[in-house]
Amino acid sequence: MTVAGEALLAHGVGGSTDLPLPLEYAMIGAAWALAISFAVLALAWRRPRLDPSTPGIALPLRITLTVDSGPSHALLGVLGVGFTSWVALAAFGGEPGPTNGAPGAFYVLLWVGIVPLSLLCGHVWAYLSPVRALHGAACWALRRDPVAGVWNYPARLGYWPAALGLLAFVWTELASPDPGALATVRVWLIGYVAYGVLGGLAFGRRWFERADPFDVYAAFVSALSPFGRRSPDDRRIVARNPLSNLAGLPVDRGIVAVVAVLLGSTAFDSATGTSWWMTQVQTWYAGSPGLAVAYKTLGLLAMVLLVALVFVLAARATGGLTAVQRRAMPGELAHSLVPIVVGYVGAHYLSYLVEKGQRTVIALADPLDRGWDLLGFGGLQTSYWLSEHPHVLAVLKVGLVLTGHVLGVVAAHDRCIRVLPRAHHLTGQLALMLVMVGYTFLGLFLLFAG
Amino acid sequence: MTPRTLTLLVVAGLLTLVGCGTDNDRSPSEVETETPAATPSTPEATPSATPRLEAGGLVITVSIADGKVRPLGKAYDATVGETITVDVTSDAEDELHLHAEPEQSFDVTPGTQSFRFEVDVPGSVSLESHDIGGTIATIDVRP
Repeated sequence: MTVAGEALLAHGVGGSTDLPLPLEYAMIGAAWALAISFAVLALAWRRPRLDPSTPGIALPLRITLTVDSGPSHALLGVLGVGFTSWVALAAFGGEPGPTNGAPGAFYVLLWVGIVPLSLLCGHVWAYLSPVRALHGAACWALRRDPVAGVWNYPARLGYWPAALGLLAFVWTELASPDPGALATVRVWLIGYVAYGVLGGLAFGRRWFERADPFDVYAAFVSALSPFGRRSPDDRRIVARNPLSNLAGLPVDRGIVAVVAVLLGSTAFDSATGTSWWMTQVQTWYAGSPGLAVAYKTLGLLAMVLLVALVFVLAARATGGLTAVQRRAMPGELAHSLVPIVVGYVGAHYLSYLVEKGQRTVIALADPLDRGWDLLGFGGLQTSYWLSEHPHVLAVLKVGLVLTGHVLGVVAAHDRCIRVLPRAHHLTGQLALMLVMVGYTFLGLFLLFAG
Repeated sequence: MTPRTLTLLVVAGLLTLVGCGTDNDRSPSEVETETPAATPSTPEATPSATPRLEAGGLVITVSIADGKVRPLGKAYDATVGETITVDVTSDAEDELHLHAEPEQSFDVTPGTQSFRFEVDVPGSVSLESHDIGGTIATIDVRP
């Protein structure tokens, strides 16, 4: 028995996955999702209440001043660049294998960790982001304004570059030939830094807000955080109802594509673990790496397209609107999928973040395999408490899915009564609510069967 | 309905879940046993170095022949600490990877051989053929 070398690792970091959700948990979760959805539809408020311009509760001025000060931006930027450089040491100089922390830093700490970070702290990624910091440093060196670029960001692109970037990432993780290889991480490190810094120089800050996949992901999740600014003019940091913050998520072209990639890819990840995929689809590609990539790519695209198509159709299925207004409905309602994404991604990746995250941090203590242990955690052992208590894990997972679902339904309800004519308040949101119930049923089913 | 009523509903939903979790001491899942592989062993096959464990424990029989591995994606159940035996009959060199905590890997040589291992961390563990590429089995290892 030897330790696996450059193995084909699930999600790029290997190890086991969660036990399937027990059937009764999935059933109870589904029943409550259905019941609460109709309760919202029938009983919830009839006048819109979720408003991103509500004043909220102002936090002490000190906090705003500290968060917005030059030194703290510099400190967070240095942290982000420093951590990225540390990971680059492991990616370029470390030995491949389970003791290398670079793939875990990429697939676990960045991809999954960005969700709780943004949910709890708001959009701090804007300051931690290594590409924003490097871009800021480059602008400082060139004596240029970091907000403005050489050209204006083309408005017609909207969020589409970010959606494609996210698709490229999930493709790498779930469908590419060898996601765990250090070469893959190296390509992404170099490619992402070049994409971010050059794009930022060319198009200014807008590039990060619309085209940077990780920045946009963080911004979408942080819209659901309890923290926000009082108003675009008064930058004081306030605490307000997360759903009111969420209602202020900027709508732009491609917004549906962003959430569809996030939701569809997570569902596809579960789907590849079902016995149907394992015993049927696998026989079509096993033994041929090229076919494996082809089938997984098709499956991933199909799942993302399915999520997007069903959502667009349902969001448009309402009366009382002109054709132009109807076309705007999917974008107007896209923010309501963010809680569903966060809940499902949280459920799907909870143990992955906690347990693979620990393993990654321990591995990163010694990036070059020279016996370093700078911060003193290199000798720690991973705690598998969550995996050892599968019932607790199952309750947490169903709870996350259910909470995300309810918040999504409420956000959609509020937006519907804001934009739909009164006569269509109920019927206009029915199709969308059923689609959300469908997503949640599918999500729970995949957590049970995957 | 106010946000508070909604919160109550969600909490009620979660409580039902917790309630359903506490009295759920499952009996150890039934162990699936396999008959030996149908594929005849190759003439030059050497007797396996490890004696076959007859008493208890999950046994998974794997055949690798003509660039194909069987079974594919078969589901098994096991418990933590149970000795799991993989009997492999192969006509080629390969490497089996066990995606568990920690990862394990076994070198396959032409002929028949047995590998034995235990899984210490509960979870869904997959056994893959590295050279051919394919998930042979997923084992749900419960505490």
